[in-house]
Amino acid sequence: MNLLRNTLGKRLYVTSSNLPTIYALGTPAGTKSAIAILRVSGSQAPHIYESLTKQRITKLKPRFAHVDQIYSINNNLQSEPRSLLDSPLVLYFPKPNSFTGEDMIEFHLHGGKAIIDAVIKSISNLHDPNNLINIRYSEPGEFSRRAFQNGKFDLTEVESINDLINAETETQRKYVVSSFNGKNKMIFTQWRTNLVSAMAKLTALIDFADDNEMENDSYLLNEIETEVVRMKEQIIKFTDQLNKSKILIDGIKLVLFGSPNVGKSSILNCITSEELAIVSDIPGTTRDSINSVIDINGYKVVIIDTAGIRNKSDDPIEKIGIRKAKQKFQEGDICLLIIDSTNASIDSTLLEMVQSQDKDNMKQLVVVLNKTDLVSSQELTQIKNQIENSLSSISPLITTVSCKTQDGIQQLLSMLTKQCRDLTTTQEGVEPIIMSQRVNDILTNDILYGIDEFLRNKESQNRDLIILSESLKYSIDGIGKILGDAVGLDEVLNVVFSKFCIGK
Amino acid sequence: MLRWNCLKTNLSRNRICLKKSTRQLMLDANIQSILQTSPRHDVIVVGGGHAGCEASTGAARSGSDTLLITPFLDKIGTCSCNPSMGGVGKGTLLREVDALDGVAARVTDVAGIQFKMLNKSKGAAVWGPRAQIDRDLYLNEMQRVLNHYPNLSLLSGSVKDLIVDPQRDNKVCGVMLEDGDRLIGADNVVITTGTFLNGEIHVGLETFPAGRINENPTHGISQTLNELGFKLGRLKTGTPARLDKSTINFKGLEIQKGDVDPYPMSFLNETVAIKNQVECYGTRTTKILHDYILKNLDKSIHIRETVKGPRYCPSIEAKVLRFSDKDSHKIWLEPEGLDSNIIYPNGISNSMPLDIQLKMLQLVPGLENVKIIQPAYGVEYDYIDPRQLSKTLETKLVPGLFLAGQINGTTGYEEACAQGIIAGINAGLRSQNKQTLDLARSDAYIGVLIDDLITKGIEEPYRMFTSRSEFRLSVRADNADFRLTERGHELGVVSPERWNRFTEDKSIYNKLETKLKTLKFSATQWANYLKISVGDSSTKKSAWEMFRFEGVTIDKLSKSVPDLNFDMSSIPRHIALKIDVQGKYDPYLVKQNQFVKAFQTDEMMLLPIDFDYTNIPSISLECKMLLNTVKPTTIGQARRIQGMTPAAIFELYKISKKLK
Repeated sequence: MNLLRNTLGKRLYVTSSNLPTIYALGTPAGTKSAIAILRVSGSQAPHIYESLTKQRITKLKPRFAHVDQIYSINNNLQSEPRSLLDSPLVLYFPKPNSFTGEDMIEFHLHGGKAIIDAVIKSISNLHDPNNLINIRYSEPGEFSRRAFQNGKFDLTEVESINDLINAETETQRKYVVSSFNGKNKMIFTQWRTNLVSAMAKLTALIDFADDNEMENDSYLLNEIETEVVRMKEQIIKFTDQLNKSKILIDGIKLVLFGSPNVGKSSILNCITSEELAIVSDIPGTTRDSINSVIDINGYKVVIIDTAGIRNKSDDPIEKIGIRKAKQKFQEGDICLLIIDSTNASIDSTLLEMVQSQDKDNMKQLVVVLNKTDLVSSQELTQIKNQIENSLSSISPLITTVSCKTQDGIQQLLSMLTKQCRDLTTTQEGVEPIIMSQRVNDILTNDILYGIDEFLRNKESQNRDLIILSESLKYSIDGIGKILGDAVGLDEVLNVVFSKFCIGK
Repeated sequence: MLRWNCLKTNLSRNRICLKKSTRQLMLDANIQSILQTSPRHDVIVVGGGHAGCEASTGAARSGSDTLLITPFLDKIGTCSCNPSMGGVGKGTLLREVDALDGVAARVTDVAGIQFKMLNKSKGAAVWGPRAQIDRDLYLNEMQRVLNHYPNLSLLSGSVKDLIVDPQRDNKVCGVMLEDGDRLIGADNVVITTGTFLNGEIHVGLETFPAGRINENPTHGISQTLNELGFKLGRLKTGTPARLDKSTINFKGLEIQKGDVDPYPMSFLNETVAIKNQVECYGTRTTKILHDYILKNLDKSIHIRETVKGPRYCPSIEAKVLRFSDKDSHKIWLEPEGLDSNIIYPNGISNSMPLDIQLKMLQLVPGLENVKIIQPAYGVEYDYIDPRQLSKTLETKLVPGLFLAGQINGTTGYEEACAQGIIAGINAGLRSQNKQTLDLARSDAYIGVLIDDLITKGIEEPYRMFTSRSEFRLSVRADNADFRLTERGHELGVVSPERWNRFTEDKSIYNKLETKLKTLKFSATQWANYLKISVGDSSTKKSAWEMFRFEGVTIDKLSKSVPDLNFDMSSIPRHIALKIDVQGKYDPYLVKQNQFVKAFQTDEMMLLPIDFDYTNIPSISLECKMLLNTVKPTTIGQARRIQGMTPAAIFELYKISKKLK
């Protein structure tokens, strides 16, 4: 222990943390509500606050409500600009005067799913185990458990809160268990088996090499490597699919945008056949983005109408609308660029918006030429060519409609259906999966992290089997947490003894 | 064959003697009056094996007047199975025993005839120091040490029974000897009887009572413990035949040498006593031999029984049965001593009838004409369910009674030593009403061993593996003294000699570490000095950070970097090793330290010792039973019980108290 004490570094308040900092929604997930409360507890809570708000924690008066603006945090801090996520109410409870006895922060967010997801994603991006910043989604009942660990309850309080906790853990457990069935459960169980087998090989090499004529280290290590690399590919595929399934649940975001008065709202109305947006001939009628949820051939699609985008507007309200439209464009899964066939030039602001897309996050662009009833087919072909040329770097899909005559609406809908299918399916016959943020976190921060650490350390000149084994421990603990079935040493030893002839 | 018959008659005669009179274990007025005039000691240790030697010397070091009772004083320190000490995991245990000023490691350094650091290529955290020993040298040295140990007396005798006081929760008051029912008083008794409790030896289809070959088992204590409410179980293990060296043809066999420059087992020694190290030889079983075993399986009683044996130490019958695809298994031929004519064939333990054993061995290359000096045998014995023990190895049922070694379901000399030293020290400290020694999983392998035993119980003989510890990076063989000697000193169980040596070592280490951490150069300068690439960072790096690169050791640094100016010859070898290892693991240790702290959170939450969990309404029946069996002392321990549910753990927080 003395040795350990000597090795402690000095890194802000980071090293004082013993347990990972946890976060969770305090309000029910998946139901619509006006506000959503996200709780954070642990030594990294101030760090999370400071990172999200770009403010110092000292600014917050304990136990008083503040309004702050919070910004997204990307995986790689340098590359992308940080966007405004929400303006939540923030409450700070410094330790020990909090529910858990740790530093706690509550964010009262606006209850939209997109906002909640973005904030959760940002917080999870702050997890940085190599710098001892451990942040993860809370395990069932963990807030209460921490409260107990810090002596926050006396016996009488416990009696009353007890039922509550049991209820909480029970529902969460059911929630976790019910999302595993059939194929998914088999996939997870297979990964668990693979990890136990990998761990058994390492254990055999470390603890029983002397008892046995073992294949040499490199041979078995390469076997493990092949095994975990294959698993890594599967997990990445799985999380991709997870995200795609998420689209399925949350809805595919279809953004309509274009210059003012090109007929965006008319197209929206054609698709939804409801008078949702205000349609008029005065440019700039749609000042706010309008969302409506529709069903396109079985796909849940969230249609987002935006204010028309143009350079010249001086109206401050319209300017805000334009800024919002740009933001919506970034969030959309499919973007419809609506163009008036009678005035087929693309505004420079629009062009820049379309062309400055993030390379890793390219959206499918569909150009819709509206008002075709007002131009000849010759002119139309010419316009098409023109657009193809100016957008050649993006190679958009181009289709033509007339809202007035309903010409081309069916073609547009089937084109959108195909897009939806492409966005949501990965492999044949794989069922969509719904997983909690917790599972998603564990897959990335524990299981994949462990595998990557293993692979990195295996290649290290200074290769050390214990470090390799410690690396895989992250993965094996992770899969245990997901399945609610921790891998004990006995299970590993069972594999060791059945696979290898141990013993002199 | 002659020897064999002799053995059998000898033992059957003893069986008759064992028909006993009625047991007298409860203290009454009569016994009390006899006790008052009988000799008294603070601590009595029953048994003179590995656990007994450490227990008795540990209790004596604590300052308690200690008596070791064993049937034959000249058998104290016998190594009844393989002639070696230490190994992977086991070596760490032995170093920990040494750090608490135990005797086994120092005796090993006197008796060792081939030292080898195992796992050298795997990573320093799991290096396992091991030594082949000369059985006679070991036994003689152990007896010499014990004969001159302050506060320790030795008595030749057999303990027939325990005396407990029913008026005081069955507290121990002393023991009764076979010899004329003599009584000896003591408030603390450590039992370390190994495989002797209802021991039964199997050779082929023959079964007869014995603890070790040619030695009587103990029946009385087993029955007494049973009557006192202890849960007992049965385990089995085995040992191979001993071979006549002169009948073995070593020509053409694989030669295994020890380390050229051996690492001693004890932190007190810079070198080992015997410079001319011996060699071991490797040979293999053959297909014909396997077929022969399979044909004769019906002649072994041991293999067919349901009693559990260790999976990591299978008999050759078990190996052949379980791994039918393997045509051959390794056998190491280990000399039992410098001048000994006995060879220990490691890897071929069995319990076949003697004639089959001989034929079997003669099918092994090199052993064509071998003669058996002592046959292989299996042994089956009683153990006490260790979940009835507390962390100090005192039983929960009988205050003042401590158990250590194979009686608790473990196997191996080192595991026995480790428990012996804890039980002995604690019996000694308890008799002086001092604070006891309990080690956590994060402190030592000993802590892991004891926590596993008392929390999970056992299903097969328990052996130490490094994988049992969650803290392998920080809890290592090389730093056992830095982890434990101070603890021992605080409790007064470390001799002044050890303490002086330790403080000296510690100060040398600290000076070195400080110097290495403060000496900084640019990456280019380091590259020049060490001829390795250390990255192109513009910040200066300390010498301490260089250990992370391959092949960098303190030795290399002192040779390549003039500014360091270390006189390597004045640095004890184990300290140089500590620096190398600590420096290398430093970045990982910061992470592990977080785990240690997280682990301790639940270890600080204390549970009441005498709590009846039956009355907590919302815990399932299964959890109640588990909790009442194990009676965990911390939330952390409760969490490690297999089958505990999260809901039950929450209930436990209600009754827990935070340790300040």
